Amino acid sequence: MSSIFLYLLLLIVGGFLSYRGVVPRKLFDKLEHIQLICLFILLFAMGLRIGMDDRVINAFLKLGIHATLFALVSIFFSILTVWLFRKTLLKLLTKKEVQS
Amino acid sequence: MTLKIIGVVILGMILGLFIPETYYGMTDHMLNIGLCFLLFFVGVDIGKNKDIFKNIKRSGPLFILIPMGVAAGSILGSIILGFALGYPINESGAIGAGFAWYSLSSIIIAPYSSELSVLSFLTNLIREILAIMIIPFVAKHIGFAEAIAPGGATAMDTTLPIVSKNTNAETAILSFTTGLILSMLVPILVPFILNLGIL
Repeated sequence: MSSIFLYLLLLIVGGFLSYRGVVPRKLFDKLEHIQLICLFILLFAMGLRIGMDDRVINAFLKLGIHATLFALVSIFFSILTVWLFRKTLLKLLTKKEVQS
Repeated sequence: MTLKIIGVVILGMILGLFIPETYYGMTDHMLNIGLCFLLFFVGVDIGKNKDIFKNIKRSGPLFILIPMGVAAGSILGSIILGFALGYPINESGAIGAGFAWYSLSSIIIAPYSSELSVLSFLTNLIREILAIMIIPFVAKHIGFAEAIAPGGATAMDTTLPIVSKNTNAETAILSFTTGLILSMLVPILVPFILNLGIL
């Protein structure tokens, strides 16, 4: 659970320093490059773990089918909830704003 | 870019086949340290956008309703499907909380389980590809706000041009703020939901 707070803290500290102009402008130009290097190292490490784990390699086809289903269902439900929120909550909120 | 990402993962996988499992623990440290660096720089990237508060003000209540709807729908949908496929609630919920950010969500899940990490990577990668294909249809037949939903966290970058092209300027701003909020939620919600199973 402590990792969540650490991740959040790092996001906030990074965002705050950058918004306040503490981060040198030179770094902004290299930001994309730095993020890409971090990302590639992490993805490589993730790939290594997958390769070392026989269970994952053996279950690749099953995982692919499940992944497609998960993607389809999460898209469908996210559209549905946004539509529901817009039809119900937005009307309620805008009514209150008009009244106040 | 997506091809490069897939390429790096495949390269790691192939090398991993020849590395003894005794080195598995080493990748834990590699993932944790790398993730801390990445998240700090993601924060810096978000903070450099000085118009962020202006954009939020222009968006009104939808600014919070759309990301809430996308987050709730993605997690709920994944839990329902996960239940049918026999996955524990915390695992399927964590997959849904990736919001199409396949690289980060799978990396966060990797120390927990390699199998789940692969599932998260593939699910969120497929979601991004499907989103690109579905957005024009949703914008035309369902609504502009709903067209932001399929892209999830990618609504601020990869799928933003597609949302912008098929909707209007207001929806494009909403798309950006939705992607921003969801991107900030991924590193919080994924480990939080995963940990619900441990508690």
